[in-house]
Amino acid sequence: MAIMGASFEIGRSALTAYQAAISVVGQNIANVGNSDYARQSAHLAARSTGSTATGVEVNALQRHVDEALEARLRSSLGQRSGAETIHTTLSSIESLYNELSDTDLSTQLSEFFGSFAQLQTDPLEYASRELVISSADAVIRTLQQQRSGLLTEIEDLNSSARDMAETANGLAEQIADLNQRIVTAEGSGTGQSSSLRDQRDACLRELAELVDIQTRQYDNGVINVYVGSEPLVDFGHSRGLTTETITEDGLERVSVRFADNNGTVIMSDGRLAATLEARDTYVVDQLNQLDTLAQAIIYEVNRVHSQGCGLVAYESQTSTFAMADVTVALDTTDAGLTYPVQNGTFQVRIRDKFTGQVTTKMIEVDLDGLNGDDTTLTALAVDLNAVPGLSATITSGQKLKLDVTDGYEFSFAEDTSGVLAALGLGNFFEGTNATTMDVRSDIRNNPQLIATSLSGAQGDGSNAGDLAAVGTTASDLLGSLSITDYQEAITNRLAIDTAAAETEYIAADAVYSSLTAQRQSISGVDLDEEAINLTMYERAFEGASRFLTVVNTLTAELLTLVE
Amino acid sequence: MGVTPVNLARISFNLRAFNLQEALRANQTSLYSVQNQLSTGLRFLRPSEDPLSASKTVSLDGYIDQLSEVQNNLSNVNACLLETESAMQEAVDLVREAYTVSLETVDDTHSAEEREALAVVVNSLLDQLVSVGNRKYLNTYLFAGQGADAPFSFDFDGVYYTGDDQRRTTVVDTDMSTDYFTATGTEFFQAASTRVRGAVDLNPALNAETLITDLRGTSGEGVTLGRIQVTAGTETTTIDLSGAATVGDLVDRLNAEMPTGLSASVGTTGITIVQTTLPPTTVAISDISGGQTARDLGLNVSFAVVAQAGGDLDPKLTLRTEIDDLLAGSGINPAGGLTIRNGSQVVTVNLTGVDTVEELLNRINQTGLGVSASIADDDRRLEILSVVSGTELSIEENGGNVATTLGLRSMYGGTYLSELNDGNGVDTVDGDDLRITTRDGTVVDVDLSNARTLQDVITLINTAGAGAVTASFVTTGNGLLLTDETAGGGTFQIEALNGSGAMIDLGLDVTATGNQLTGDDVNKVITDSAFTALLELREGLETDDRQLISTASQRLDRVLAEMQTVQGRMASQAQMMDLRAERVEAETDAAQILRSDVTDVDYTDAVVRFQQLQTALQANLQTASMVLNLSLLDFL
Repeated sequence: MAIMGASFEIGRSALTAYQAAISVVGQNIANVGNSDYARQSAHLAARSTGSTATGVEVNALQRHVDEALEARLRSSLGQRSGAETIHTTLSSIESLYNELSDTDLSTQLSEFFGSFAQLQTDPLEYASRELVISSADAVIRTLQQQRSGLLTEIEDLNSSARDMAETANGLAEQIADLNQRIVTAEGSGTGQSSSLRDQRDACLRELAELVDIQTRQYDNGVINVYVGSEPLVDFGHSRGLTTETITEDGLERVSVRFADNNGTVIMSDGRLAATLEARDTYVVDQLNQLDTLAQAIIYEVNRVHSQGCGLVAYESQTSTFAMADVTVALDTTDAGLTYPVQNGTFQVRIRDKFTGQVTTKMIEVDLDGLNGDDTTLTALAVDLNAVPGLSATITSGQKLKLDVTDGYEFSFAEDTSGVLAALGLGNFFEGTNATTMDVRSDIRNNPQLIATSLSGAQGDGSNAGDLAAVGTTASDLLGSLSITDYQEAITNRLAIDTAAAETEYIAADAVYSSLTAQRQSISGVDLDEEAINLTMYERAFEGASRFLTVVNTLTAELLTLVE
Repeated sequence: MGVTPVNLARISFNLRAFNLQEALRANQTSLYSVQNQLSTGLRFLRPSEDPLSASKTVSLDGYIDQLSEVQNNLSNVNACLLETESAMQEAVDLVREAYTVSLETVDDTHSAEEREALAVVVNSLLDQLVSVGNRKYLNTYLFAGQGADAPFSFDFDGVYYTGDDQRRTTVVDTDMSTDYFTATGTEFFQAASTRVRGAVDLNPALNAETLITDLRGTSGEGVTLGRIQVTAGTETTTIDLSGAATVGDLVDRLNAEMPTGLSASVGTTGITIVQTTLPPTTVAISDISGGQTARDLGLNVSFAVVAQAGGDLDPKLTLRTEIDDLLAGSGINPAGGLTIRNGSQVVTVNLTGVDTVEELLNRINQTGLGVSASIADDDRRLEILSVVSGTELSIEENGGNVATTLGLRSMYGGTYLSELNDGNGVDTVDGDDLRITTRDGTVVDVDLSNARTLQDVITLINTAGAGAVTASFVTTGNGLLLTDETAGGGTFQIEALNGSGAMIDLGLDVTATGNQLTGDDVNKVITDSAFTALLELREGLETDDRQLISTASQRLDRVLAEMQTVQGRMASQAQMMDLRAERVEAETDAAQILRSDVTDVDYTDAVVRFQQLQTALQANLQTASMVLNLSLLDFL
């Protein structure tokens, strides 16, 4: 009967083994649409006791995973999502600039400087003066819209970075938890815990999409996760990720830190790193370029504008820009002027409104650094006060205020020092960046103040001609590029960066697709394959059942003999 | 888009789906792009789609915008020039008509009454000419220069011009070059006199406040600032002078950086270098290769003396020039001031307390006499011009010598005899022209044949007078003054000899008062304009003065020729503007074509691509449905 017993055992083992194998196939088929799932296969082995065969068993459930490929896939996922983030950010800046349209900044700059050319032909035409103001407004509006769009972009990137850091932190905690569960589950000797491992792989992939991670797997099934050279997940413990917000140059910037010691997280790839890079390298750069452009437009237009005189001159004027210290030389940092001043002179013209007589006085701006007598705002006020009819005072807001005796008006000319543009006297624009840029309010209220004339004659439009040429004249503030060229350079650089980011994304996507295909090739479920396995195990099960029937019949027949 | 490698060991269900998805994505993206191209007609909508072409497009757009501005300017300017040409033709016709009247009435064929009647016609022509002079196109008075108001008015007993001599300009090309499009009243109507142009180079002295840009330098072409090298003994320094704005800045920089023992100061004409350490060593100042600063400053010198003066920097006369700095620092003595007489109005300008040239000019300009005082174009002299047609201007002394010192006296020693009497000159004869008889009976005969200037006349009279008669200019007013230095009971008198007209032409046809014969001003300034001629013609016809009609006739002939010259010039300017407009239009077309080449989609190419992509998409969809539907499970 020992033989009979063994046969029953063999049949039982076969039934159990093939049931298990069919379950594995079922599991595979059930997860055919789950892209995170790694297919499994039941490993069958013959059972034996000494030289006696005792049937069959599923001695292992094999998870079809190539760990090296998984690591490469994670890395490529990070690169792809990083490139995508950079490309998306640059594309949205490109949309914001809306270049190549009829309302882009380059067109508006052309129209603005063109409006001065029109004014040169007919300086007495009031409508042409209004056109200059409205064209200037269009430029200002566009610069401000673009600047505020960039600031919103920065806010959005900060907010995304915060969300992503939170998600990454959650994923790190999940991985730590899964590490513990895998060790516990697999420690009981039941083989690999596939579903837990699948879950952990999915978490790792998700984390790798955000942060470039390196992993190290241990024999006990634990995977430790590193970011840069620092560990993030160590066995069952996650150090945690958090964010810190600092304000620098008026801009809020979110950075990612380790939660336990507030240490900097050094990342080079992944969506989170790319978000911060897009913010710091591209958006902030664009913001700075936009401000530089606005500054150059303000300064260069003001510089030329302050050389001329409008249809009416000034009766009173307060400098636009306040000084930090009125007792130091104008060109020192402590003076606090945004725009450059150099050694030179300028002229003040006092005009008798009744007789039309003009008295010209030259004011020296001594900034040669010699003899200790360089011009301060206080000294300048003293010199201007000495001009008959002119009164110069320094306001409590550290600005220079000029007034003229009743019946007179004043204007400026031949400023070789740049002091008028730097202080904001006789200027067209006020402000120091795209946000604060505006047309001087007295000019907005009275466009006759637009300084079209150099000689003082109302029909002289030569200063308007000079203003029209500002757009194409090299500016020191723009590294010797003209305003038009600089604006074009910004657009071109953005176009090239965006195109490069797109190329990079396409390349990263191709690598990712290729690796995904490889992963799917190894770990993916093929229904046909599973159908074959299913049929095969079904037949095996049928065979085992038949075998048991035969053994049972034999056993029954044997028992009949006993009866 | 993603390309999935095909050399895979097994194809899973997910891989098949993934592959199809990727292929569909690539198809759809390409199709979307071509569809956009077809619907917009543009090859790219965003710069990043084709950065190089986008860059070209932005440049071309800027260029097209500029061309459009220039085109706009040229179109305005052409309209203005058309109006100017028409006004000029009207003016020329009016002057020609007046000229015809003058020719018809200058002889005996008309009676006094007929002439008087024609004066009304001439008056109407004058009104019309003033009206043409005030012609306007939009906001621009065509002949006001850069003035904003109507330039001509009847004032100061004549026709008064309040415009200036600056033409209106406009941008005519994309390089921002400009050109003029108006003719001023001074050039077409000759509304300003051509005198009095200053006779004296006022040669201002250098001072610390003199701007570098106001220096002619030793080359006469200005001073270019850069680096110079100064060696004193064994010590050499390189000094960068480029930041200097004034002569004072130059001297400060030199003093701060020159080798020890050297000091710079501002001299009357140039910069002086002094050796403060004695005995003097050898000092050499030179330009650094390629520079010209030392040369322009007249400091490229080598010397071993204590003081070395640099070259004459020859500063320009500017509005800011101090009166005390004039004439190499001598200044002027303002005593008496100067008298300006224009028509019936006289003003003596007091120049006491005047500090700068601008104040001096302001004092003259605010006399309200219809004169315009300014610095001459050569930046060396002053000039006072009459801007009234039909009056006579004279600038006289008032007991002092201000007018002469400033070179502004309208009748002075340097005046050529040929200029006198409105350009009619002095009619001298062979042999003696004048006989002056003194009170003691001395007879002085003077031959003026060799005299070219009034000073020559004075010298010849003084020589011939041999102490008995002296000639000079009057100290108050204008004119020659003959003084009888003898004593006697006779009458001091002057008479013409040999039928010479010199006595009358020199304004000496006068009766003596005591021992003095005070001559008349025979060099009054007359604005040689069409208005002057018409005013003269009207007066000549009204008063039946045929001499005046003849003068007017000659003047009309002269000004007509000048007006036609200016008319011709403006016609060629209009033609030039037309040519520019045509060129700009052609350039705009070329730029538009180029832009179109860069930005516009090639429809044939795009349509073919669209069809290809559509076919690919269709194939993709078909294979997708077939591949995904095929499974072994169907056969089990």
